[in-house]
Amino acid sequence: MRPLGYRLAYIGAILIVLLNSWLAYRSLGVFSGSQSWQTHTLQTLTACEQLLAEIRTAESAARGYVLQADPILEKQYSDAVSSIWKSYDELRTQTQDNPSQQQRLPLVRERIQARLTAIEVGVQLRKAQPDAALPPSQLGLMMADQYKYGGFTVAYAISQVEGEERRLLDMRSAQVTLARRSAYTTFGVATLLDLLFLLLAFYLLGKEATARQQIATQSDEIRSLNADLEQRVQERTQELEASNQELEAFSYSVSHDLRAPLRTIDGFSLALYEDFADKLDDEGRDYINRVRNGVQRMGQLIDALLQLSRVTRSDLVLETTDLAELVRSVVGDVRASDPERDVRFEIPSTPVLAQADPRLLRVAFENLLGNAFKFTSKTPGAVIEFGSLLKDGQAVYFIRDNGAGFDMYYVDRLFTAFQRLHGDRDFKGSGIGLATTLRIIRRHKGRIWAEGKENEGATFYFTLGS
Amino acid sequence: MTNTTNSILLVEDDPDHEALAIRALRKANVANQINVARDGAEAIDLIGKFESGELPMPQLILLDLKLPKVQGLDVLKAIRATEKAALLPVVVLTSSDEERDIVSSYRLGVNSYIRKPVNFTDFAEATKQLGMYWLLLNQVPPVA
Repeated sequence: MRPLGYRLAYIGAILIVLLNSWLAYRSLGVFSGSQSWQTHTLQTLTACEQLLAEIRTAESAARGYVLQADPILEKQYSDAVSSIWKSYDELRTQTQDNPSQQQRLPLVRERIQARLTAIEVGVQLRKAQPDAALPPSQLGLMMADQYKYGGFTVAYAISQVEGEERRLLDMRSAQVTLARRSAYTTFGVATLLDLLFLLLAFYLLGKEATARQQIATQSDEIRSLNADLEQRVQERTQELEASNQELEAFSYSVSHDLRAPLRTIDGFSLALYEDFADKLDDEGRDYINRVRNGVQRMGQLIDALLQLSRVTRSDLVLETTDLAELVRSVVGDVRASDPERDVRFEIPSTPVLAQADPRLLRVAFENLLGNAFKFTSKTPGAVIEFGSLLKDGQAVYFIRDNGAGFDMYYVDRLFTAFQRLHGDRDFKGSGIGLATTLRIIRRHKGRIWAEGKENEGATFYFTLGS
Repeated sequence: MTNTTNSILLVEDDPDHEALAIRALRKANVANQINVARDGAEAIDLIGKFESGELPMPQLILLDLKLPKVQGLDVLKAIRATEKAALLPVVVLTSSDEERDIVSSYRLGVNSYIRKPVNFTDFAEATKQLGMYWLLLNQVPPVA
């Protein structure tokens, strides 16, 4: 239903929002990762400081002990020593992730070992001689970290580790700042984009709603216009139907009532002929004949008119009808009207089925076949054919003859009541048969048309229903 | 006391057609007495009198459908609603096939139709056939 562009925009918007979320999430991850690295570095630095502090504690406790031979101090000293190694181990685990730090640690360890060994010498001396004054040369060792093997003190060794960690800390702090900044940026951009999308969506929604509103208003208008039209059409239809019915009723009763005086004219002219024939000469009898012929013609006209109005008034009852059978039956009647005539009828032997009102269609065939029969009366080797063909997927039926035909110039007059293309002198007729046929076909919602050529026959085509 | 005659009741409003119908019957050698009712009301009156025995029963009723005042079909209904006259043969004279359709749709027990053609010769022929049948061949129902 929606155009492709809409769908693409929709998918695009969802993708961008998802991408935004993912970017933001990722930059958060980077940020928190950098932060935890920073924390780790700080912890390592703390461990270094603690190690140094414990070494100093051991030094000062040992010094005090050497000076005062106080067993409490000796205890402090030995405690400090054990926690020094604990701290060292901690530092080692802390820096396991960093190979360059791991390379620095043996030096630290070796320095601590050397320092503690120097201090231990003093402590052991004091232990051996608790009350003696110790030689300063002995004590000097403990006064300060002067045992420089290759110029390294413990403090220096540790400061090496610290230095590396500080460098890392600086780097990581920079990373954290960067990660924070990029997280902020990503968040900002993502939020801005999402906002833009939301605004765009709202804008489009608004436009859509307006358009819909417009369409709704328009369709309301159209609906009311339609309803008006519908009503007007219905009114017109009713008026037309009413006037049609009046016309039908009028033509019916007029034709009906005209028959009564005709009967009188005919009856009494015959009575005149029968009862007073001896008083009339040939001329008088001829006049009476002419009167009776005129009455006869008028009677036929009235019958045709009655049939025309009946076709319009009667109900249409559609059923599956075999047109070929219907034609055969009508042809029987037509032949009976003039058994002497030599006419060849060509009718399909297989059923030609259609949805039609057989009673009305019979009247149509009576007129069409009657015409064909009439207009071939002066044609030697007359052939009248009924058949069907397919045209644009619709069945077209036809009655074809090789009789008098007609001039195509007058084709539009064929189906009009009382219009005749042949004089009564040549072919008798009411001029109503084809008008009746047209009405019957129209009531079946079909079309009827004719093709012909003078003296070469005529073909009448019709369809039934669409 | 019942009395049947071999009379014919003709119900016809048009005097010309009355004359022509009588002429046609006479030409068909029907010698029976012919009584005429000129509209439906008159016909129903007469039928009442046949029923009560005031007038003798006819042998045949010829009934035109198009009548002033009371329509032919109503006369037919009135005849069929009686006890004795109901058995009378009624021949309906119609102007058109359509009226035949109407009558048959009413199923009022019509015995025959004559469609009155314009051509008097045809009409006379039909009348002759009917007269022969109803007046000579048909057994009139016994009147109690």
